[in-house]
Amino acid sequence: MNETASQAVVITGIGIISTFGTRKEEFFRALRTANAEKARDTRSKTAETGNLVDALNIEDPSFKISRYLDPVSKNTIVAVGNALTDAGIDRQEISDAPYDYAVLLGTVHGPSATRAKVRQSLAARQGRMISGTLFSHCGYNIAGASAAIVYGLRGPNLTLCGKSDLGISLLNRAMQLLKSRRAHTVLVGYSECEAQEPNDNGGPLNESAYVMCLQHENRVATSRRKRPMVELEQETMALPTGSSPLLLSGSVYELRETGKYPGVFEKLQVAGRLGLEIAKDIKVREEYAPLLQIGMIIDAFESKHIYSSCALITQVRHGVSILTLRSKM
Amino acid sequence: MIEAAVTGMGCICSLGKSVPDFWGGLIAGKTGISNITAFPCDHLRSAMAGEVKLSEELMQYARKRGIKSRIQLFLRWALDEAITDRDISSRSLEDKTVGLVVGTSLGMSLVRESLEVGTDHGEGEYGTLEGFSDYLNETADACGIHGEVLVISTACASGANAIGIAKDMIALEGYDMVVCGGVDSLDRMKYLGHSALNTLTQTSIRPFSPRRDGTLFGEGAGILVLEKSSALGAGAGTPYAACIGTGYSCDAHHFTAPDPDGKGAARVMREALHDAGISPEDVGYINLHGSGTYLNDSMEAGAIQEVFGQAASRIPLSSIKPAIGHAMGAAGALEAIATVLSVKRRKIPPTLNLDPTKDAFSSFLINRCAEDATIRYAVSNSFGFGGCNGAVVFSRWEETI
Repeated sequence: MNETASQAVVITGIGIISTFGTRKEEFFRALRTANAEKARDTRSKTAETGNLVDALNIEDPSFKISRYLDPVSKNTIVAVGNALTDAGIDRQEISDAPYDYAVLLGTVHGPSATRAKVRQSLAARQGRMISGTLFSHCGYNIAGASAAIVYGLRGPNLTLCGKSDLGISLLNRAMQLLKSRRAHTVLVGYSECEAQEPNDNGGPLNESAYVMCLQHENRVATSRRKRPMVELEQETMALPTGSSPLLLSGSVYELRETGKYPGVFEKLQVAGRLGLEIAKDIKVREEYAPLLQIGMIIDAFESKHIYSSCALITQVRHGVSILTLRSKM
Repeated sequence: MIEAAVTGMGCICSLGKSVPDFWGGLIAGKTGISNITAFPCDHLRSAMAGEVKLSEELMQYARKRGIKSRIQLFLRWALDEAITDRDISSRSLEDKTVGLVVGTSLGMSLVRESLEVGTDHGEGEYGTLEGFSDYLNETADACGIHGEVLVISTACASGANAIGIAKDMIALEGYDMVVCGGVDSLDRMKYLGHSALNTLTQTSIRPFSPRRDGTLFGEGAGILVLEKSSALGAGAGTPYAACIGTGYSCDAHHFTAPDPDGKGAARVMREALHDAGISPEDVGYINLHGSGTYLNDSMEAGAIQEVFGQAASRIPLSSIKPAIGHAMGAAGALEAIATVLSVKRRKIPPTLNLDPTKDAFSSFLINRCAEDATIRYAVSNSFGFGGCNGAVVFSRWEETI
């Protein structure tokens, strides 16, 4: 743990696998414009089996770490690998300091395809036995463990479950791991495969994994990789009286850095709202919307649609979360 | 350094349904391992477990609150005891920034939501951690907890990791109080799974013994109330102890087996000691993960030797798993409570079932019976499937003021 590192946190990479494919530009464009046609086509091949990697013709030798992997594990391996590549982090860099790389994943359903297989096999065997291999892949932390094994990530490996405010909670915990110097790099995101769930929402993102690479800024400065995408700040606070009409949950505001407005609420009073909401016919688990919107903001920075700073507002159980992103590009 | 004070505790497990019952049973050398009554045991490798027998009192408690599953019952019961122990009303909780962090492994995710587990042949609707998360949010509302509510799932390290996250929420995120711990319940599906994996012993759990050949599982909940030391009001009383350090690591080795070199386990203990600002020589007790499986105990012994060096031979060690079973997601929290009480009461619980004549790890001081000890700092270890590791360091309250 580096005691003298800068506290600033930057996002240096994003890795995705979804029914839109694995290219992040296409993914964010689809989220913005509701172009779900391609996703529907891919989904038709994956809905019953949860085999997104097969539908996308991804053959990754890392899948051979085990004779069986749940779809959430395979998808996480792909997304984490893409995030590391996007951040310019190679295997040698990880093996030099494996305990400084953390994995922090959210999941609502966990390895539901494996659970379904366990139940089916139990029924087929009249309740007498189940497969040890399948059982050992039933844990909700299996996706994070798979990524750790494949990439040699030996730092904190945490899985958050459930629904309420999950996306914001993941970011809070990622910031906590970085602030406490327990890691200099946190791969944070989610992995879901809802194909086997009775309450399948049928959306194009119901099998997907999405991972962001968060790092200490000075760590990036001393490494040999490309410059960071954005600096991220996160704060959660009670919602001030009378501010709710302005602070629409899920909205992105462009901040004007004039120096006249000391606090984020004051800045938001003069901020312009940007159209970076997720298109309505793209069904997304609302827990993960803030994580996806961060990616959309970064995509907008990269394509020069916006230039400076943004605030993403998310209403949470205990107040309002304000994510501030400053372009470093 | 901002320490997190342990100001309240609650638990339920096979040794009893309160912290005094639990501690009294541990120190008396009792075991809660018994024949399983909650589900049929045909085709299982073992029919013994640390099962919580549902008394009429517990069933009435569940019915009154509309509780539908064992995991909900254990959580709510332990939470109520911990908040009562802290002696704080829900109205007073609303005036503070309070969070709730609970660890669990599979929870009810493979079985039907039911208080009576019974026979299960794989058909029908099953619970998930999504449902457990909903219940946790409802419970938080009912208790006046309005901050973040988190479910942590890192297999058998869940309880320890939940306490670690709670400690950091107080140290780094401005929380006044975080109620934290772990919960898990037994069912036939888990026992079928562990039968298939050959992790169950057919005799008894013998941690750190030459004849160790597997573990037996348990169930229950352990809940701790952590509070920012500097914000303790007059009503808080004297804390039990301080939670001063935590660590996380991942073996990145195998889905179910620990790294035999114990590198991840050594790392997690080192990180927790570093976080606590103490050296290995300062530690007066280690509450072992001590599951009694051949691989785990060898790995843990090697890791302790690596971290503590010469000091390892004079630090008392014990595992409480022979007394309550391996309570999975609740294990780290129940063991944390035992560690806190060891520090507070200057007493170390025994490791049951140690071989009286042989010793697998002769260089260690493994407690066979309850012993008095002056402990300033103690470490509690937890290791889980997926290579997830957690360690927590507690200190005597007097050491922090």
